[in-house]
Amino acid sequence: MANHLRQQVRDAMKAIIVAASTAAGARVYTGRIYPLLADGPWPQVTISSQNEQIRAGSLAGIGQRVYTRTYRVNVIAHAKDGTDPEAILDNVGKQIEVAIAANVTRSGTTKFCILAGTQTELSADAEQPIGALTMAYDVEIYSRENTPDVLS
Amino acid sequence: MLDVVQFYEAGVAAGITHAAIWTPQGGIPVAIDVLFVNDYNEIYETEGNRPILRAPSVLLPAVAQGDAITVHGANYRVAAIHRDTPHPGETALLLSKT
Repeated sequence: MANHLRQQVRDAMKAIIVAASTAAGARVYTGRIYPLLADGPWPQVTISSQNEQIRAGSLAGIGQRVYTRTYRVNVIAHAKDGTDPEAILDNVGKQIEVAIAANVTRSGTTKFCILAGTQTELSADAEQPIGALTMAYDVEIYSRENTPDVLS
Repeated sequence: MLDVVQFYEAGVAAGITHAAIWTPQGGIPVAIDVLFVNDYNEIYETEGNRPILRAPSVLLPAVAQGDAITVHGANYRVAAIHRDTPHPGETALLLSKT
């Protein structure tokens, strides 16, 4: 059995961003629980999913109904810089937007995916200013209720 | 009761202060004894530290944002100045590593 579609989407987006050779290079992480290390290098990118909602179709029998799954994938760029972390974030954000837009199905893992919004956060409460740019992607996928690892 | 300067002099005698060098922009370096903390601080899922220097205000006349500070061999610039903080006659400097 393959990984759940949510994980497939995260993994696909990570692969797309790494392959695009953005300013983050290979520093793109899924499933990261612990904080990013203080010394960088920067920028770095974390990917996580949240808030899935499911609508069940009624045409198939119980156990095989088609689920319409909508949820959000947060692609978050992180930077720490003594001069202008926001500029670093916007630069890598541009590269990520271009890379993801160029792969419309996210390597075949989604039916629908759109950048729903962004949020920039900046803080001076560290030895150098720290910033985070959250790029919130709304994702829609379909799966049978008994095969959440297979795109329908 | 000790005033702020006497408090810091007692701190020097007790070995709890740190030797620092304050270099005003366009000025000459000045050696001062300070209190210095550099606590861990996690922000937006990123590790960091929060360097804060405290000293008697009379030892930091006309300190300004951008002035250079060296503590324990690390170089900082003054990012923010909190006067009479945490006590009257004391100045706290929020530092940014260079």
